[in-house]
Amino acid sequence: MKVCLHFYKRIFVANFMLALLFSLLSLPDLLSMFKAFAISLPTFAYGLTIYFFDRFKYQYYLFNNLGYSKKNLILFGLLVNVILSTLLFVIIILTK
Amino acid sequence: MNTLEIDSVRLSFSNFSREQRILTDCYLNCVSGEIIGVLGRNGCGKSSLFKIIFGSLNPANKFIRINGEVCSQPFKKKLVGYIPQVSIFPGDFTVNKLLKFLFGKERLESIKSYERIESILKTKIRKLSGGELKYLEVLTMLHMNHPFILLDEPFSGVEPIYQKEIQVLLKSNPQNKGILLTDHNYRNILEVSDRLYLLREGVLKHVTDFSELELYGYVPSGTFGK
Repeated sequence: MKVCLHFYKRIFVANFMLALLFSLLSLPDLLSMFKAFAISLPTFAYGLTIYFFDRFKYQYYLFNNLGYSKKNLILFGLLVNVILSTLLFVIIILTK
Repeated sequence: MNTLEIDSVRLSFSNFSREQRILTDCYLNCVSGEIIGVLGRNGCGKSSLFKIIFGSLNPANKFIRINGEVCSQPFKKKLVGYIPQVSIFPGDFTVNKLLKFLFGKERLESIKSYERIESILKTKIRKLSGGELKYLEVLTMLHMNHPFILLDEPFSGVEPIYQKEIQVLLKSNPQNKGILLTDHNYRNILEVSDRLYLLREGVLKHVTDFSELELYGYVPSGTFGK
């Protein structure tokens, strides 16, 4: 778990910034912006983040040496993002 | 005692219509406490062979057995550790933070006690010199729980003092691991290895006498003084 979280921490900033960039496309409507952020976090932004992280393939070897495959790590990151995205949607619905 | 056996490794890359064979039929075995050196020319497939043993590269055919059990991806069971040619540690970590991450607080002290490590504990990984980084990589790998480790060019770009330090470290082998290593700096490999293989034309040849390295054209003739 600690190792997976470390992987997520390493990709989080890039993932967050890219999702924010996607959400800016929905400006000036704030609600649409939040929705776009919640949708792109586990989808486009995550896909792009993984693509860029993949450019530094050697980073995976640290995790491999700790017993984690690239597939496991990507799935873990996706799961966390889906949870965060769901929470955001719940907040959006509740605040409507 | 742990045993590692690699057999029938076949790897080829397709280059448009041409098929380039890298490894044709490799056999290698290693037991706990043994250091095996793998030599070979640039591009002969040494790194690919290590990636195949580690489990991060899937060739057309391979047979890896550890302690009698067939493993397709040994890294998943933490049976094999691998240090590639370039650094795998996060540059923004300090040495102390990295060691804490890898070993936890309990095992940290024994690693911190190494003289070379003590002095760089607060240094960020990206600020370490080539020698310090390679030393740290080899040391951490020797203390992790894998029964076998693969070291790809641990002496490359390292100053002579650190080369000697890394040799001493490998020979001390504190957890009695089976070690496979490769480097173009062949003198270091000859110094530390118990057994030697030469990867040539896709096949691993067991080298019993250094003069065979001249015979196979790996080193210039006369290198070993005959």
